[in-house]
Amino acid sequence: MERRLTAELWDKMHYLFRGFNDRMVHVALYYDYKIDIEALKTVLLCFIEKAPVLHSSFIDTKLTAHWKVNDYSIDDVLTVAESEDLPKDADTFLTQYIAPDAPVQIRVAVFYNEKSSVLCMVENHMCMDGGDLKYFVRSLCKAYTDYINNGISPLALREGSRSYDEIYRDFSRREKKMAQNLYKNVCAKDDHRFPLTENNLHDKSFIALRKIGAERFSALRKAGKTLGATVNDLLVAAYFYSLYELGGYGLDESVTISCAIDLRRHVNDTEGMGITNHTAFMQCNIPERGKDIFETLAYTKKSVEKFKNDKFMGLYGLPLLKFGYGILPQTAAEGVIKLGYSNPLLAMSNIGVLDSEGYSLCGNAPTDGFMTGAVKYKPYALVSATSLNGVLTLSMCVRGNDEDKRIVERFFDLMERNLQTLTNGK
Amino acid sequence: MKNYPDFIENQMKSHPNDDITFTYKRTVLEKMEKRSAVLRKRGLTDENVIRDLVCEENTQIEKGYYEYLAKEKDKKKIKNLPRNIGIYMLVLIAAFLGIGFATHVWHPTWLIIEGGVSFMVIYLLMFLTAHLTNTVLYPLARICVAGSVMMLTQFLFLVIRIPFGVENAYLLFLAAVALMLIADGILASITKQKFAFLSWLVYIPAVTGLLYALLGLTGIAAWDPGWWMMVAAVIADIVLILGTVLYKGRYSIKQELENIWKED
Repeated sequence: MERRLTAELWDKMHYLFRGFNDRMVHVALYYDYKIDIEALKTVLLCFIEKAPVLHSSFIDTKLTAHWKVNDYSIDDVLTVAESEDLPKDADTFLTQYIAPDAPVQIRVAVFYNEKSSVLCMVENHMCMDGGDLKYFVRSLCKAYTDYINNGISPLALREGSRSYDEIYRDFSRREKKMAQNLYKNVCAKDDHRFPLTENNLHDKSFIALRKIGAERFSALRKAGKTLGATVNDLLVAAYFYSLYELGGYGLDESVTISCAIDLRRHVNDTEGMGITNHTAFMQCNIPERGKDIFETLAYTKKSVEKFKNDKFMGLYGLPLLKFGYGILPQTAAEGVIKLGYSNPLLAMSNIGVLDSEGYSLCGNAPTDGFMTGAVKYKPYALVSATSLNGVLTLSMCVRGNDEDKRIVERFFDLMERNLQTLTNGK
Repeated sequence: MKNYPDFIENQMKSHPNDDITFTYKRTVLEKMEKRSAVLRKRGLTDENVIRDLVCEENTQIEKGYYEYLAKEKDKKKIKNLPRNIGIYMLVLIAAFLGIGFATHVWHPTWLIIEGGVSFMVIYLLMFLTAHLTNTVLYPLARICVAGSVMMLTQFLFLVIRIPFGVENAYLLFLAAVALMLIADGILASITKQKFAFLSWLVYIPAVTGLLYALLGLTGIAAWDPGWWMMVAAVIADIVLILGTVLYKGRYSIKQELENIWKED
């Protein structure tokens, strides 16, 4: 008999985003170590068994939506190949697309040469967000190490409800009721866009990366402390400032960047929660560019502060979405939600630190790596940021052409320059 | 090292090893072995890991046992149903013949058969309703409830019309429609259906309309000013909506938090 899983609110929402991005989340971790493939297969299989959504197909019947759990084999998930150029093979693997109705929703690859390996992972955002993918990969690394070193069966992966309302679990009854009444629609309404070229059928997905070295990133963090700003504030301010120049926006124009926020911040302990999506956006808005980047930073901080003071940060609009999907057939709900939903043209996702110890395989810490969000379709743009071993990686995934690559590189140049200005101080 | 039989026996140690328990344990064992085979087919080769994973997936064997017992009980009920219906029918016929021969009043004694069959059908419909309410077949449960109301009504109609000779007994069917709506609303509320609130908003005026017609047709209340009942129904709906809004409003977010979202 066919086994089905509930299509949760965020699964459906990310499915709705199919017109804006390819919904893939990407990870690459480089090791000076040869990964034991048999052990990895065992760990990976156990984890996929514990998270059945990863071997399911999303079925949209127009009236309803659900996940159909599929049979699969490890060969559908894992690719292993010797490589002469690890970054190139990793890039080719990472830019693939997994359709929602594919039998598995995660694909993993290990490319290796004599000394090194790269572990790559692509998964459907409908199954889990960056926050849970970080947890998934970290647990995978730990389970791999425990399995090889101590023969412990790799079963340590959270299981439980994937429902959006799990984030209310630590609220008091009154707070929960309040959160469940946050029907306000808080979509971005800014028309400023990243100055990419027009869409073209020849466009291909690419991942652009820019590394900020450990020394420079450390200096930036120190400067942030002096300026009373977090790394996120600094990155968003530099993003704003770079965009005014790159996009040729008027200096007195107000611009909004949507910043991803992990809704698990509302939960004390995620134990008992299944791997899923709990990510929303806060609209970071500045009224004008400001005379210099420090003024941009001041505007950014002020805007972010508003959200930080809100106990219900990121929870607005969820009951409205739930209501829409709850009472209407799938297609009608999508139609109605699209009327009120405006996908942010400019977005930022600070995925955060990938702690090298947590991602070690048998004591071998990753030498390099990054995690990045979905490939956005023009004109939508998302900048992701992760750090590993003190190195900051900025990334943008775009479906575009060589000209777009040049534009993104120019953007990264501006970001670097502006981050350097912030590091240097007033 | 765990093996499946020991793992199952350990969880089921507080239960006697009777036939039904053994069958259940055997079913669980087969399920676990089948699952192991699936994992092997998918590419898992380490037998220890397979065993640990399968055992971890089956930590609720005792809970499953109680569900299994409940299902077995239902199966037994269904299996014995034809026999029980046969006995029940024989009792009804015996009662009918007994009273008929004793009193020579065959009409309306036959109502014993009619009533008995009606109550049996109602029992079966209620049995189905109980098993369908929390499934995707909820619409069928609603039909079963409506059917039960209608079975009861036709029996009451016959009783009121035939032995008591009440001319307007047919009006019971009008009341039955109202009763069906009320029963459907109660079922939706008890089972916490999404549409329960909306159902009541529709059913209150509908039931009032039927009641108005019923009272008007029987002459219990005058058509005018009886129509005020309809106005009252609309007011009741408004009160229900306002009450719900006010109740939910108790938890509305404070204004200062609202202000955060205003573009100042």
